[in-house]
Amino acid sequence: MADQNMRFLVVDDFSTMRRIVRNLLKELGFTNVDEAEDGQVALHKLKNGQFEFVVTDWNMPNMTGIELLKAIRADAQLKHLPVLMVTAEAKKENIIEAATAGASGYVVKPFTAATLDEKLKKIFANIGK
Amino acid sequence: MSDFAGMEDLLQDFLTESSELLSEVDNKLVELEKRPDDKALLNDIFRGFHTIKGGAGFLNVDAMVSLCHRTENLFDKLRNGELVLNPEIMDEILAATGVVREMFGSMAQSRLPSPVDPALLAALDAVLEGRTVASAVTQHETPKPAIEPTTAVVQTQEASGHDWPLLYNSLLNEVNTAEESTPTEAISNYIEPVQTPLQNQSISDPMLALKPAAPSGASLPQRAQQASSQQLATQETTIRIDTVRLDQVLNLSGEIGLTKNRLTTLRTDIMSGKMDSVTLKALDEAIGQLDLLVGDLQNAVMKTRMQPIGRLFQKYPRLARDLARQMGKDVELIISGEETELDKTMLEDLNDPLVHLVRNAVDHGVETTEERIASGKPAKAVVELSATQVGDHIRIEITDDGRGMRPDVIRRKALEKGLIDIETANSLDDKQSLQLIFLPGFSTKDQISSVSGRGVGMDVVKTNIQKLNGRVDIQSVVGDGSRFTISLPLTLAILPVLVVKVCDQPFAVPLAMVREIITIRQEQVQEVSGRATIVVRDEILSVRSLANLIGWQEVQVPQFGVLMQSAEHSFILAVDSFIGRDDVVIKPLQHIRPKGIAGATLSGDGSIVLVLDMEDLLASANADHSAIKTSRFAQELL
Repeated sequence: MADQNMRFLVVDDFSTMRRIVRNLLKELGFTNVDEAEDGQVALHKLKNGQFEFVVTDWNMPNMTGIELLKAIRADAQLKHLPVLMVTAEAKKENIIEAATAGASGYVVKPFTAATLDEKLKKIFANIGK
Repeated sequence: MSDFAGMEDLLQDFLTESSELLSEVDNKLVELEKRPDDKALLNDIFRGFHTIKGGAGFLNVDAMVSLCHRTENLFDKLRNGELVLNPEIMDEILAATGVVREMFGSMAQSRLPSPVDPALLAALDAVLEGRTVASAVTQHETPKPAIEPTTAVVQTQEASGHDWPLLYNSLLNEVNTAEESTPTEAISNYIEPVQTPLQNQSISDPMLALKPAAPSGASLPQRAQQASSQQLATQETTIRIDTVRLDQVLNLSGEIGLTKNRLTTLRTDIMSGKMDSVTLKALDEAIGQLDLLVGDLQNAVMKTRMQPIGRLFQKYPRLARDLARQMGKDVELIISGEETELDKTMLEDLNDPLVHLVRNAVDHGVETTEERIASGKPAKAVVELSATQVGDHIRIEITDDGRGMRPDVIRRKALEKGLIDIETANSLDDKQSLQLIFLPGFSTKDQISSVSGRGVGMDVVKTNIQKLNGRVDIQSVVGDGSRFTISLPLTLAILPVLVVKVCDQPFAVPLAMVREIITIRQEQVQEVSGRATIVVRDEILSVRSLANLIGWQEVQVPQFGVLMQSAEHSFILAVDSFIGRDDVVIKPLQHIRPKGIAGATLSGDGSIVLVLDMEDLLASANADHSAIKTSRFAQELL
């Protein structure tokens, strides 16, 4: 089982959405959560903090979620980080793009704590392998 | 019962954030009309709808999700060049943002918004498929069994949800094992069944057959009109504060706590009989410090209530655009000084008057395009809305480059409507004549029909501004345009006053109105047409006894006169004596509202001081004393 102290970074330009994700994570027992409002801020925080998991929105100004994902995978220090992509719908080309860029998982808004839990468990299981 | 039980906090956050977002979207839409190919704008608007949809989904507001989903798709196609923006599409989009705004309104009252008018959804779907709005109706006369748009979204979610790990693994395997096989194919097999069922099924909504969409030209201005009149109706109950300001409040209250501790210790000392000069000096110091800190705290708290006026302004370009379009005019609203800050309550109360003035400028101020061209002006009219801080006042100006106002026409109109008599009309100069438009009942016929759907006339503009201790001035040049200038105090929370005494009772008058204090010598008082007047530096000023104004018997001949200046006239307020100036916090009186009293406050010795509302007091006194309809106005113009 995953460490409940695992440090999450929630990335979304809409603060209400960050709060939603944070609350859902809290429901699952993950309370060590920081936030960033776009990819750039997130990347900066990731490079300077010990984060263990990234939950990021796709559509953001300055630096989108997919650009963030690519930047993480391209960074020697960060490339191992699990990244869960959050988007509003499942479009074929989006999923392909996320998959090829190396997303660890993909969750469609709106989702419940149970859905999120399921996604996280799968990702943890994959890491554990 | 709330439709959002257990989600109230989230709802509040969502509404605050999304309303701002929607205003931005609205403004960007107005921008987009000028630069329809601007990719950055299209992207921003796309993201705006996308974000609102995402939040609405978590709040289970299905109607908003399905509407925003369509607008989002529309902008996706626009930014990808699959669709080209035209006025018809624009109308549908603007109607959609109006509906979203209405939904925010019902959500603010904890009600789930009602489903979107199917005609609008159909129109959006038609546009999405590159058809005209009218054809959307004819094509759906034999509806197939319908699936609710929202269930489609859920399906999509579930399908993709279960597919993902498999999908991802299959992709990884494909990539790892067989380099040359295309992962895309493997994925498409999984994705195909879930691919955006929204676009395919929603147009088959059976409601469409029952309620055909009206031709866009006829229905849309009306829809836009409804939307814009509703969009401002909801009042915010939350406020966003810069943390620096909040920290300042925290700091100061901490320091006040420390000073209180010091005073408590000193009290113990003094109570136990320790009254030496060192103790008393310490007491003096502590109180002095408390004085300073409380003053600072008041300022800091006041600052937390200050909000940029841009919050109001940002709603107006859309308003002006809709109205101008409706009237077949070409008007650009230019906004400046959005960062100017104003007390939150004032900001809210300022909305109605500003909406009216902006509408007035577009409706009456600005000429039609043909008239403008005929008189050699640029076809596009410009209305400017600006805010600046001037000393301890805020000045807001609404300027148009339209036809201007003709004082003689205004005088004649007021006369025809029986608002003034012929003598008054003849005695008014041009500047005073312009002020006639603020008289109740002056509003012209067309104003009521097309513009003031909210039933706000110019008189209400003036009354509302006066309630905020502000005033409105008009400048107008025939043929060049008009300018309305609103002056407002920075805040209503703390009011500097002059405390005067009549019949042994203290009263506070707003210091902003006080020009000077003079002693009244009876030999100076002259009767001019039945009124007591005094000449001060060649200016003839009427003398009004405060005791008489509030309907009391004078107990002594007033000794002092306070020279008062309101928006348009000056007079001398005769009082028995005065106590001095003070900064007071006005407490409104509950349940009773005596004429001419704005509220009450406590004086330093703990007694109650009534704060006078001079405009109201004069108006009611004049109304009582004179049966002539015109006298109030004539008085104001003295």
